[in-house]
Amino acid sequence: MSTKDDEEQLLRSVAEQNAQSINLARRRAEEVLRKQSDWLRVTLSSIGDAVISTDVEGRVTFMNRAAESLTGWSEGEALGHSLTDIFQIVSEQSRQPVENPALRALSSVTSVELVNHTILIAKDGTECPIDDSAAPIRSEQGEVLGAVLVFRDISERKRMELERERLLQTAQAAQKEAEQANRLKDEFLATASHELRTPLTAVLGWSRMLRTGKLDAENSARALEAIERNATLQTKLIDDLLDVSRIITGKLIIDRRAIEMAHVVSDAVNTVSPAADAKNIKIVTSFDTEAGPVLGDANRLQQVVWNLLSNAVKFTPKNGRIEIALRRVDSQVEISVSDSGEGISSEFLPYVFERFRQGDGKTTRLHSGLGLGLAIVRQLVELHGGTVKAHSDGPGRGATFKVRLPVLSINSVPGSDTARRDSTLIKARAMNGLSLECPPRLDGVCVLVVDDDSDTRQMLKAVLSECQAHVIIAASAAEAIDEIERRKPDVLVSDLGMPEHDGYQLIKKVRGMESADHTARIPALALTAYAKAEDRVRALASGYQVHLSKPVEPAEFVLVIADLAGRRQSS
Amino acid sequence: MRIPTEPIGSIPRPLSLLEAIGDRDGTDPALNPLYESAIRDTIERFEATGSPVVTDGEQRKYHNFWTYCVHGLENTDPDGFKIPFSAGHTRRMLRLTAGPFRYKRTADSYLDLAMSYAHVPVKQAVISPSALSLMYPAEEIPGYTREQFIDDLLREHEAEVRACLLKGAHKVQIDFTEARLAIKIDPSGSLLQSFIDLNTLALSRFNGEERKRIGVHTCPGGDLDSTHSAEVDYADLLPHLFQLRAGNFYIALAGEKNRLDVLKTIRAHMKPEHRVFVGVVSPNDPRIETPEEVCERVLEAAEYIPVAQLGTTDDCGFSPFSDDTSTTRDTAFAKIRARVAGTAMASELLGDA
Repeated sequence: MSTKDDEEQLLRSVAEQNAQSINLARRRAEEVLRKQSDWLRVTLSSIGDAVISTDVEGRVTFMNRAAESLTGWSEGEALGHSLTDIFQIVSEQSRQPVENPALRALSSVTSVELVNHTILIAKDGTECPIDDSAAPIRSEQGEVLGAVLVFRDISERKRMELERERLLQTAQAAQKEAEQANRLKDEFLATASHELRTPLTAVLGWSRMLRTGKLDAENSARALEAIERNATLQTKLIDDLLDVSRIITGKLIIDRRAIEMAHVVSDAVNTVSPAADAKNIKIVTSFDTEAGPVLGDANRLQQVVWNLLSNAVKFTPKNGRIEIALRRVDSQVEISVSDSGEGISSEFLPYVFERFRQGDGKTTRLHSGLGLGLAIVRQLVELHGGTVKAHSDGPGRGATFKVRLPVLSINSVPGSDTARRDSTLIKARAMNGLSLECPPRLDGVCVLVVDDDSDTRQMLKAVLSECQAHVIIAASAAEAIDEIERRKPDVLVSDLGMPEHDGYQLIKKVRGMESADHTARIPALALTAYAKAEDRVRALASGYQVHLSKPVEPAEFVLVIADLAGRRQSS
Repeated sequence: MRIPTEPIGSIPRPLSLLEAIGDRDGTDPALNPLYESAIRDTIERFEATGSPVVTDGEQRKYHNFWTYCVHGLENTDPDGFKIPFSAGHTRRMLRLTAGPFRYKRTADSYLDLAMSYAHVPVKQAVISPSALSLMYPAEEIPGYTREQFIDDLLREHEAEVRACLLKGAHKVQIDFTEARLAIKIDPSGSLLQSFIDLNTLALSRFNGEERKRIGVHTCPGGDLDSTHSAEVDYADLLPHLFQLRAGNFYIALAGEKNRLDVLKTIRAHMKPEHRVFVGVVSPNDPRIETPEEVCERVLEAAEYIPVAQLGTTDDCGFSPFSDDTSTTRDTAFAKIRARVAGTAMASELLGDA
């Protein structure tokens, strides 16, 4: 063998050995590739999105678990099948078949971006809204090898979108409602400001004229009448506002008793009669005395009827007619108030019981008032478990309001102190335009009046003195204690808001002294501008027997004092 | 359509440079001015031919195209394999004596200077991993297994090619001239297959875009106007060669006895993503081809290779071994000029067609 042959032999030997090493290196590289492929497959199988790949003919070459779950096909079943068999989609809107994005990607050799509003129909026929997209699979040389389809279940997202849309609509509606309420409240504030200032104008004007001392007797009497009338009006306005406040905050207390509505309605008619007479409006009544009792708060129910009647008088022109009827309708008592007045438009009728609503919201409106009366009516009636409805055939054709209250099935006779007091107050309030022409006699009754306001003290002393009561006045709780220790009064009347020691502390001290001395309790009346329900409850809980809010009608005040004095006597 | 044309690489060194190198170490810094002068002159003359792509003529591969990256390694001996050429002479490989295997220098270091002189794209040739794999001796090196060597070799080769690409080489051409020699030595084809496997492993480290800028050159060897494996039929090589995942193939054709058979084989085995640069001038032929002759060869090739995938080149470097003075620089550039002009002529004709 030549040297050349030896070289070639040696070269072959080296090459063969190298080949083994190269083969090993190739196998290692293939192993790396295989692991990468496995990793890719595991990754694709693990991701939440469904993935299906196809060959260039659109036949399935791979699908991950998410795709199996959504299509209902296993990968084993799907491999080699046309993608159109596995992935059946229709338009969400039209329900017509939609072009398969993967096949479009194959034909156009471009990516098909996210397609929405597509419904996937699974093998078992179940449907699922999906998002899908597809792209051609290219080799490194750019040759198209197939397509990859990615899709996902968007049921939850759809549900969330619908929920969001619903919430948005609700929020928009609430906002609209709030804006409307705000607008109404603005209108109301403007009205309230106007209505509250109007009587003040008369009060202030006449007061200043009286101070000049230049009015003759006739004009002085007219001035005092105007001042009284306007103060009364303002009190009513404030009462309405406070009632609304109590209703809104849920603090309106309904003191339920068995009540014959005939009395309540009759009292209300009597109350508005002067106003009706002034306009020559005829009030026709029709009462079924056997209508039956209702369980309710006499004060509040009278307020309901009075509001309806007042409205009827207000909106009925001169020489008009108002009919009020009380009757039994099944298990309910119905109070019906009809008038021949202005009537209510069909547009406003649905809102007639809403707060701050008035048929005429303009500044030039013909009728005064806050627009709270009917809102209060509805709230009070509903608090009594009843209903109130309005009917009108339109403007100029009058209106009818019907209140229905459940009949009390078992008669009960009110007998508590509170009930007695309530009946006294009802009686007093029924005397609209309270007069002291026939006051109860308070001869020999000693009343201690405690108030830090001098004018109030003097006014109360004057009222009580008119009834022959013996009146002691104190400007503070300390003075009052001194007076009580000196001579026990028959009745204590105290303001609640006072400097240093308030009315609560005073009554607490008084009750403490009585317990210590084993003496009888002095009947006590809290007379205060704190007029809310919780103020009343607190006053009664502190030891007062009666709570009256300022301003108080003299007649009502005297009646309550007489009542309390009688209690002292009876005890 | 303009048919691309590129050189293979080497241009005969100026005699003054060869004389200065003499028996000295080619890395002597004193030689730097001469290298630079030779490179500048080479690129100027290259560009003067109209060649749209140039090389530095491998002026700094002061030994040869095969061992430039390992020459001077301390863990080598010069008593490696002998490559026999038809002219009767041999060229000898280095033999690795110890691990680890590392390149002494990489071809991207030549690009910096060449690109500073060039006004057209510069390509760079590197030696194939399969050629260098023959450095590991038949007996295993203690403490350094053949597997470790193959791993090191692949990593060094990848680093060299990647560096050339990053520096902006128009193309990186892997010289795989031992391919036909492998069949000559081992007609069973297993040696060639192991070479293909090794080079495939190397190429798999690059992505598709990178491989579009990588080419593989094969020829029957060219040294002192002779070859080492011209008798091997291309039909035994090309089916395997086109398995390599490279974007470009530079195939010696001008010196082939039966070009049409070779072209038919190319047509049968090339892939759509391949561009095949066929040799249209032969460095081993002292005669200077005319542009018309080159044009004829291009038109002939275009009958078998889609024009969109066709390119032209030289069959081989004009001086793969630095001491080969069988071809003058003038001749080399004249042949290149003919290649460029002939290719342009053919482009016009094919474009008109």
